[in-house]
Amino acid sequence: MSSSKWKTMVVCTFLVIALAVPGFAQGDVIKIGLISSLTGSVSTYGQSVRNAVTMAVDDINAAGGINGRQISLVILDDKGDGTEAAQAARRLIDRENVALILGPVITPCVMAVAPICQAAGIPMLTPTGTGDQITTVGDYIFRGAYKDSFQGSIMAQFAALNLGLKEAAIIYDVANDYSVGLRNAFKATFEEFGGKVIAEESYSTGDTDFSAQLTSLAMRNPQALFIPDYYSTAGPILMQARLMGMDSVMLGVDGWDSPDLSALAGGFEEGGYIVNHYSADVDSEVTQTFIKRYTEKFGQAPDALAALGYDGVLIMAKALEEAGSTDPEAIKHALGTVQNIEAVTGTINMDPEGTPIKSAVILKISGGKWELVDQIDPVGR
Amino acid sequence: MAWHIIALQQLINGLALGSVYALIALGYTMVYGIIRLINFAHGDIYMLGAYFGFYAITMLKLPLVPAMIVSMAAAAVVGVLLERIAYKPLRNSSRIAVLITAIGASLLLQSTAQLVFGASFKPFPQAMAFRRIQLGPVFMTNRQLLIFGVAVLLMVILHVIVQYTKLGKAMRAVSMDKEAALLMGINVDRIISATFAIGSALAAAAGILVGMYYNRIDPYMGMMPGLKAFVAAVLGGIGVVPGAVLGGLLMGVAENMVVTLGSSTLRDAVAFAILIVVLLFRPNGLLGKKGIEKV
Repeated sequence: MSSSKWKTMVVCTFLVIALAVPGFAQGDVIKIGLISSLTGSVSTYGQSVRNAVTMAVDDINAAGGINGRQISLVILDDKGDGTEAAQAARRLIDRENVALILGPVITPCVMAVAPICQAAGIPMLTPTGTGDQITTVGDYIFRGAYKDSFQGSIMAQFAALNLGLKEAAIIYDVANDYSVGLRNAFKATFEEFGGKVIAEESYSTGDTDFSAQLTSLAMRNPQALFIPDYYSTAGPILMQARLMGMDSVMLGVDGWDSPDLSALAGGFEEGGYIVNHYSADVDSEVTQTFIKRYTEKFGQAPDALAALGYDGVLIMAKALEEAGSTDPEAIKHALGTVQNIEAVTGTINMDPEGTPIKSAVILKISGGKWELVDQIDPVGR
Repeated sequence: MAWHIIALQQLINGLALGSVYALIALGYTMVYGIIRLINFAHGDIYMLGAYFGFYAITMLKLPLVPAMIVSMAAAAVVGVLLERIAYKPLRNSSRIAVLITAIGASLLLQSTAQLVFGASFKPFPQAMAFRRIQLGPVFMTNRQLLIFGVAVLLMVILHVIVQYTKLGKAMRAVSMDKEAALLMGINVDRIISATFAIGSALAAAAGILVGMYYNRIDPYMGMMPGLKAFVAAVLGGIGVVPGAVLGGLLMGVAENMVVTLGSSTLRDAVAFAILIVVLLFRPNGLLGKKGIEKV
């Protein structure tokens, strides 16, 4: 055997070893997948989450990584569509061999991805998904946001007790679990506090004409109108409702929080109230530092989605640190038990079911800005 | 509030929505009348019209009416190109081949629009103030009035073109008998192009009006209105111009009445239920001519 053949054999042997041992091949990095809605009907959510997640990951890597290992991020777009989200999850698990999946952003996409992650035994953490059913999929599924049943009842409680409203109407999307879940929670709690839902109308995802539904609602002249949907639909509804002459108090949810809401609502969102995950007015050092750095880096103030995206990485990093390895079982255990994370949206303690225990805020749109009205703790819920 | 007032208000809403369907349905019906093709890409021309209007207002800084004219002209060019590139080479092929090409063209336009304009929902620039016009117990917004007014104006212009001009006479001749028209010295290719241009321009006008009215445009906005306008064209009698107007208005009013009477979730289902019922009892549509025609 000539010396060149020897060299070839040695190189080949090393190559085989390199391919066979994953740790050897990828170097000492932790591979994380992010599925976000970068385009489509909820694109501002996805872009905010991506911006904040990359910023947080860069911070961690600059500070030396997690237990000395750098994080490498693979970002895929789900276009706000469940089928696309499921394909992205398959690719991250089968081809990219990620240790954990961050995302997706909206509940319908999360519900498409969660069963795949559960079956594959890959931990999934959606920083923003609020649908109640998300964490019931299995023990590998976690979230960084509050639940819709919490959010919907907080708004109902605020409307009934703080605003003193007796009657409300609801217009919601029957084809979206998020919207339906919020409607159910709002209705139950509002009636529990002595209020009455006097009229309800529904539509389907993608509709643009709400004049028929709103005409029916306007004729009943409700004190308040609850619109549990994303900004791209809530905006046109707000505009059409005001043009119908409805002067009801407009009540909304975290889905309204987008830089595009005002343009889509034609300015008619003014005076509305929403429940949200965080307020820029909260006097906490973590929050204020985040707002300052995000604004400097991306040229616009962070919305709640950005704040949740950043916090999602904080939860993930703490869990990975405590797990001490990328073993899915260890990460899963750590995600359900991490406590006292000083995050942008408040102090986060994970509960074993996979949802953080933290407070919500009520914001009012006043002069085109979100103003903090109230902060509500999740006691007893 | 009394039932009849709600019904009257819904009638107004329905007429505004219906005139949009009517404008789109006219394009379907004119093209069908001339070359017996259901142009499934027509709903996407409507979408392109909305985007052309969007860019005419935001980038060229045009006021509403000039923006509408620019958008209608641009959509007319796209419509003519579509016919020349995708449909003309197949003019003597089987009708199913052209139909499938039309569906392909529709998907191509949607994907291209998504690539060029982005997949995000865009708020439409509000080029006019918001106003409510009170009519006794009911009201109309100035946008509804604009939709209705522009639709009626365009329909009158179309009627004059089809009935009283040389071009219109030629269009009617081609629609009756293409070969005979050719023998009479009519440039059939040019007439077909003109038909696509006019139909596309009407759809573009509808796109801008809807963008203004609903304040939101996206690359897939043409799918549902396109399908419903197709139903409207069949309802009125495909190939018959007044039928498209009647069908469009009926569809708009029916949808709104369904919401008033019962469930808002049944709204889309009703549109297609109407199609099935009409096809069962009057296969040629309300104003359609007798005669067997395979679609």
